[in-house]
Amino acid sequence: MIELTGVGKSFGTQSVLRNLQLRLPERGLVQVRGASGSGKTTLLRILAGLETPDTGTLTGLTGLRVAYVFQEDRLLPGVSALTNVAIAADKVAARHWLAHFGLGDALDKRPATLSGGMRRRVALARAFAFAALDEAHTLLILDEPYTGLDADNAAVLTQEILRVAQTALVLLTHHGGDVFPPDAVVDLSRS
Amino acid sequence: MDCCPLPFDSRLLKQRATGDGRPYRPYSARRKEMSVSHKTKAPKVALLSLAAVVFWVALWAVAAGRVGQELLLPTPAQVWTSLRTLAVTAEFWQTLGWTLLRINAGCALGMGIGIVLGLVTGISKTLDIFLRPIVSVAQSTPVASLIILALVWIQKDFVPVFAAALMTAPHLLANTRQGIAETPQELREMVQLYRVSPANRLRGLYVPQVLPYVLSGCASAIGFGWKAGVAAEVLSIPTKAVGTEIYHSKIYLDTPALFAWTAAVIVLSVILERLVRWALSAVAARQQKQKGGADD
Repeated sequence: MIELTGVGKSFGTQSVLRNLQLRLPERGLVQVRGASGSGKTTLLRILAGLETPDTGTLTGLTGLRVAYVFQEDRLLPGVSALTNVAIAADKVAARHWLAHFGLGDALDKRPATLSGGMRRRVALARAFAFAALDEAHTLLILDEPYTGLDADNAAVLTQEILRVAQTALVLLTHHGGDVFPPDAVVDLSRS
Repeated sequence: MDCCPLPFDSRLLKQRATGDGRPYRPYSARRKEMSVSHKTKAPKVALLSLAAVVFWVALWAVAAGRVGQELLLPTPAQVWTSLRTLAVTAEFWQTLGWTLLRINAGCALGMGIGIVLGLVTGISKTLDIFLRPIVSVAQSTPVASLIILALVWIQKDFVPVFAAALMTAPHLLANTRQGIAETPQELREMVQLYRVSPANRLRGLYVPQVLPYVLSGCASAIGFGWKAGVAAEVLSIPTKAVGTEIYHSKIYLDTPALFAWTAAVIVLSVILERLVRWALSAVAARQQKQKGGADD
């Protein structure tokens, strides 16, 4: 179980998180809510180990792998969609996940030649391919994953989120309201 | 049949969009015009460059005429005659070939060492701090001192190789390290989280990132490598070398030959630098093409 005790984080003079107390389950879907600037992304980055909190302690993260779909797609510009996914897993898994997100015909295309929605799906395929290597020991973080997706691909994503949430902890931020009922909610606007 | 009237005149909107009353033209048309204007400027630039060369050669001719002593300052015609006399001999081309081989080998060695050290110091802060003193020493020590030392340490034929390598390595190191430093933090975080292997990090992230910096470093380092290499040849006097011929020109007071050999070195150095710059612009154009995204 992941536990945050008295976690605080400031950037310069701006305090983003203050004395945050949080206990997250071992598996399930947790939605992180809050107004813009409430510290959702900062919390996710702290959980991923990309930021160090100024105060407080974190426990329960040891041994966890983090599959993170960032707000930006963060694809390597000089390599194909297939390689962008294969760097996180292997080529067989990369082909499978790209096909699963409807990109079976775009394996050899570089990010610059893909549309915004397609690039998003490559980023999702990378995260799910990485998570699939050891789902039980993975923390799946999805920061606005539905951005740029059409209804069909959004449905595929929802299905995958619910499936992974049965064996791993999935943290999700989403602006478009509730897509499906989460198992728990972290509301940062109240902290 | 009449169609429904448009809610506004689209042409008017396009005229407004330019903001200064000029008619709207699509980007493709403007791009075409820009390219045409660039093309019309190119011959002007070439003509101006040619005029500049003619001016400086004329000034040299006037100055040489005033001095009136071939030993102090030969005329362009005397240098040209000397160059033509040299160029018809096989030895001239062999000498140029050996110098080209030695100095380019040195430049290539220095570039290789510089790139590897740049990658290593760019990725590891500890190694950067560890290697910094030796890099500072190599950059600040006068090249003549290092050449003299190299003459003591190594065979004279390899001294120009050593000197060219020593001059090019710090350039490449600095440029490669700069390229690594400019790697987007977002992508560094991504490869860290997804536990991307070092080989894949190098291939997918760092090599494309540092390539323009490396090529730019190569273009500037070649000039320095050539200067140091020829200076090393003058001091070490290896068999079949431009520097050795320059040294002999000095001994025999053959100033036109000195100028002719120097001109040959300049031409070779410029050609090599141009080749690298051409490669640089080709890579930059390729990367720009990769970065430009498609619309939804």
